[in-house]
Amino acid sequence: MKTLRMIALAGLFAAPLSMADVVVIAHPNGPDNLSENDVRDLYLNRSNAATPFEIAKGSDVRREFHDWITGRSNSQLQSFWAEQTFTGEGQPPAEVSDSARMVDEVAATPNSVGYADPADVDDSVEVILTP
Amino acid sequence: MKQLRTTKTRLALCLLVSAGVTGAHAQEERLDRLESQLERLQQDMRDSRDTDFRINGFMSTGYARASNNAGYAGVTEESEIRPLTLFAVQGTFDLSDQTRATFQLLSRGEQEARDNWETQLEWGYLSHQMDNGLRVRAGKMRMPLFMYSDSLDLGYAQPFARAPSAVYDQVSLSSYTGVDATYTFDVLGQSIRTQVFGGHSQEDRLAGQNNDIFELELRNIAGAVMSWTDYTWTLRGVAARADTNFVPFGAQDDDGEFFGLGVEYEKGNIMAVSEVTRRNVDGAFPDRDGAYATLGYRFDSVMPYVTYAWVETQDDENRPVAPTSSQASLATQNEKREDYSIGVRWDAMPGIALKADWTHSRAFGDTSGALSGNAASFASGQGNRFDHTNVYTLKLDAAF
Repeated sequence: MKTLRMIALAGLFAAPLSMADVVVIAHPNGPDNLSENDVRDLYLNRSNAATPFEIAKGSDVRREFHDWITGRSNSQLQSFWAEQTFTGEGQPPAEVSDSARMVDEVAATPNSVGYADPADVDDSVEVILTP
Repeated sequence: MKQLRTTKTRLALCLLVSAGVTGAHAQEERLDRLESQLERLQQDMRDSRDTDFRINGFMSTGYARASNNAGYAGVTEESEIRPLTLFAVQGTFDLSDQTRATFQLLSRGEQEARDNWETQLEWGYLSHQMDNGLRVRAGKMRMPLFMYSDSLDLGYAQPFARAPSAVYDQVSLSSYTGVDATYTFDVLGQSIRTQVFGGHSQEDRLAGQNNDIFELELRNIAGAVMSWTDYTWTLRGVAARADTNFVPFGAQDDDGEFFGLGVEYEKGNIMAVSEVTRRNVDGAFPDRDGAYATLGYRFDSVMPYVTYAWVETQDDENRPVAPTSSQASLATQNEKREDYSIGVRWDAMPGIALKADWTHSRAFGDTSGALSGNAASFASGQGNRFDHTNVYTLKLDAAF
């Protein structure tokens, strides 16, 4: 029991330290030529130019992406989207469970944008921004 | 999807093993069929997400008590829970890609001049996004007077446990029925949002020494909001006017004006927000200036904050303190106060925030601070019973 608890605790402390790489990906037929600001607009409900996807909360890739692009923490994003939802301004992006599924989802959805660990990216999607 | 791929491979393997005698050609056909079935399944999964109707909700509850019976924000020594408790359900129907209908039903434990838990339509409007970027809405909506107007009941979207009353009590009618139009200009990577609105608003209010019910009515509301943001700074300006009717102040279609300026800063761990507002109404209806500044610092999911707020009525000469005249009770609406708040917001888990707040209010000057606990003694010329008050609040806000 004790060992298990130790492992669980170690996991808790290790998780925030592990840094994930992240790239912004898009459907092969576009959009392309997006700037960091354009991507930020997509993820903060300021633009409808493309369909954004998110990875579910708890993912390091997601945290890396938001540190880089929106500068918002999970709790800030959550209250931001609550406000947007309840004022009828819009709904948060659909979520996928992990980076590999993000690649599949973006590959299967025309005019969509996502982000993923470069290790999961294959030629079914296009990398449009790197940090 | 990875799982589906694995399943595909496994199916292929099974087929290869079991097929044995059948030709490779038949197997391939079978695989193709299975593959296209899988693709259809995946497409169905995606489509089912894009439904035409969505439902969301939020709730708040909490506990408040004050160090005395001054009655700041209605809080006294008797602890209260019901006035802080509310539940709301919101539904959105997509009529088309560009048109949607939104409603929000809200039930509050206790509210002025209403039955406890009376459910009310807070929002109910039709919204249409035109091809040229203009968005028009019609129905019952929130009057966009303050930075947090849109999320007035949605505690989860506010940093503080109590929206500063110096500003947020400036116009107590929060909704109106009418139309608005919004357009966002993008200028050099920054967006300027412009909104114009017009309509009518009316609600019951309690007033006078016997707490009688009176109608507070704003007719011919017209206003405009401009806001600019670079995602770190947000600046907001609003101007509005309305014909104001409220019998206790003798207001009959009196000209009412409202002006507000707001600034917000949000970067890294620092959050700061400030608003300055002015309400001017002809006659005895108090002209009132109010302002606040809040500064917060995020330690991951915990954000302590401090707020300073100030309010002062500007036309006290219209409501002289004269114990013998019939104007006596109006003088209790003369208001001067300084509020100091210290609090903390903790994002305990996704969708749930817990907040604690201590607000100290003082410096009423030669007014009653517009506090109910001071009204009787002040009106009879004996001055204030309370020269300060402390209000303690615990709050739980959720959105789902």
